[in-house]
Amino acid sequence: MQRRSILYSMLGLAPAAMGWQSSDAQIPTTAAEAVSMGLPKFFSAPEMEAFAELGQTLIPPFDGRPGAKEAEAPEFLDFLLGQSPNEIQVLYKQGIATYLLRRKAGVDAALKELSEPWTYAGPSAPYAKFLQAAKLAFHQATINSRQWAEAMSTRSRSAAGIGSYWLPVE
Amino acid sequence: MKTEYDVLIIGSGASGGMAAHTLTRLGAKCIMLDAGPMIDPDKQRVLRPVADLPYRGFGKPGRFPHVTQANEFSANMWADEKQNPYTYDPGNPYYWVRIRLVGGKTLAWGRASWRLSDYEFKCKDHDGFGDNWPIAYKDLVPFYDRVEPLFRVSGRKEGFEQIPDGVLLPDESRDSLCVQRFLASCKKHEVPTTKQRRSTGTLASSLNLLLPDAIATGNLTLVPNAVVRELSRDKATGKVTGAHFVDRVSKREFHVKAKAVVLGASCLESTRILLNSKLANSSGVLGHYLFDQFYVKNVVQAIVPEARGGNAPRNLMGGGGYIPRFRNLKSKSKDFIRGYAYDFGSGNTPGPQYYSSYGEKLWKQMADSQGAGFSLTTMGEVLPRFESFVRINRMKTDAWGIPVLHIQQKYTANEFAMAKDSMNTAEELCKDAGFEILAKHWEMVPPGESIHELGTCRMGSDPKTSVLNQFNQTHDHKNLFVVDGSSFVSGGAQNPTLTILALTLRASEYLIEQAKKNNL
Repeated sequence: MQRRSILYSMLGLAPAAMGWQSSDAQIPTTAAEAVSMGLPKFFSAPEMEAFAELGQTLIPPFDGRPGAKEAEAPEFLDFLLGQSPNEIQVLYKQGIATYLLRRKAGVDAALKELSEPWTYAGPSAPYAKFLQAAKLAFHQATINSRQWAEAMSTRSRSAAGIGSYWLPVE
Repeated sequence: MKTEYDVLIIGSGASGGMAAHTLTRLGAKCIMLDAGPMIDPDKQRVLRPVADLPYRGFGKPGRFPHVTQANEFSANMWADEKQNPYTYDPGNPYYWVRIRLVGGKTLAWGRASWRLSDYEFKCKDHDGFGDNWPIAYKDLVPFYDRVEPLFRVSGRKEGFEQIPDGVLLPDESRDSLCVQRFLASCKKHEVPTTKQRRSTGTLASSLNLLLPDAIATGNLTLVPNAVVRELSRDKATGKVTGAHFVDRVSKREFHVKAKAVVLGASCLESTRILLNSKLANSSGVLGHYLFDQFYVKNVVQAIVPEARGGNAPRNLMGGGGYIPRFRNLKSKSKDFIRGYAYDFGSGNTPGPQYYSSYGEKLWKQMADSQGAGFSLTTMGEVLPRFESFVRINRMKTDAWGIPVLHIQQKYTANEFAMAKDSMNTAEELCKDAGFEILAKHWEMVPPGESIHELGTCRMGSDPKTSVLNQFNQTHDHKNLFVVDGSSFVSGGAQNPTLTILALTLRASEYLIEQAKKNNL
């Protein structure tokens, strides 16, 4: 295993980017996200800029861990939203439009709905619903990122974010 | 000329697997049809970092609108909702969660293994609602006693009448300090507690515990990818003669013949097959009395204050337990009948949704409560009602051209009152244990989401009001048995799999006895 890691490092590839099936993967491969940038598809350029700013405000870097920006969470969520059901797309499109207007009065004013106490059903107003959804999505996209795993691997011996994956049945 | 088998078993999960295990060992030549492919769980699963998954663990959007349990790691295990559609009224969503693989839902079940008691079997005698089962707890004891060792159920004997003790591997594990505090609070409030009772082992599935023994007898022929369209019947005798099925991959049509048929295709699939076959419904109740167990997930999310800031002393956090039903046993609640149970656990980290903050403040709050959580989930009894039912929707078919189910189930005032009571009680128990309440609610998950769907093909002594007799044999067709959760008359708050296994064992032995007497 150590020899394999050395080989990967000679190839300039991070072990986290390798296929996990050591018994089957004779030729090392890497995920596209590790070496290239996803192209925006869902948001327009101004919307994407605001969305990225929102992400970094909600989930900034903390205590040596990457924030949403470092984890490329905005780019990933843009891709995810491009494939999401219509009601989710509408929620985010309208939400980011409202955020663009509201942030003129300052970020805190734009995010005041997030100070409402938790309820199981979540907020009913669309903008508050958008903010809550975006907060959770940015958080998950950040802690499930390659950048997060690499940062955590230097702090803990536990295998962060590794799970038992069901292969396609056929 | 193809073989005519002694018994055709449809389904390979808990009930189908148990039927095969029993019938083949008693010498019956059986054929088993399962709608899904055969898998090897060891080769089917691999370790993967979440960051290497295409959707970072979110899963492909819209793939499983009704399977909240599905994440990107497990997505390939669940039945495809587009190939296997169903319908419901838009105002009453039903979450039908299915696995179509050999082994069925036993590949992924929670393994909680509780016995029912006469609070369920004789529920009408106790509170006047609904109907009694045609059997009593004592009738099922010998079968529970044989199923528990097979599934290696561990737990602690407590002498509670509502969850009778069984043949258990003793659980001698010690409780953490926070769990001890919670148990003391429960004792003060006269709320019973115990360890979980769970099937143990690396895999506790039909695939490794039941089917290999059945195969080893040489009496079982297993046909995967066989989607049953309907059962066939001899109009002269009224007996079923086999099943028409479709190969899942090629869509070629087949027919298989058998002297008897055992349906164990899962609660709603078995009823769907009967409804599509126009069989076993002289009573008119086939499809009716659908119920499940309602869940209130994380009804209370609390924090153990001494564990804040990563300062938990050794042995403070970790572990959990179970609170069996305690309402309406010896005394009566004014707001509802029947009762609910809780699972509780400690050491979790509350998610970001619970905090009214963002940015650095959110990170600090989450870091402060890391590993300091204590939470409970409510599992409540749902009353079986005629108005909750499934029927065939002839306007829609699945990927094999088979008409699908329309499902209608609503929770009623009794379940709502129970859910609210469970929130208030959990809050009181946590506060008296010295825990801080972070969040509480009493919103039930939609019907079906607990994956404990029951009824629609219920047992009973009267053929006019039930589909099956006390041995899971249809009143209308002597050689047709239904052995899964559809046979339940009531369900309590206990997870149903252990009872499904015990009922199937009993029904299968009865089938052989009757076959020997030429009574089928």
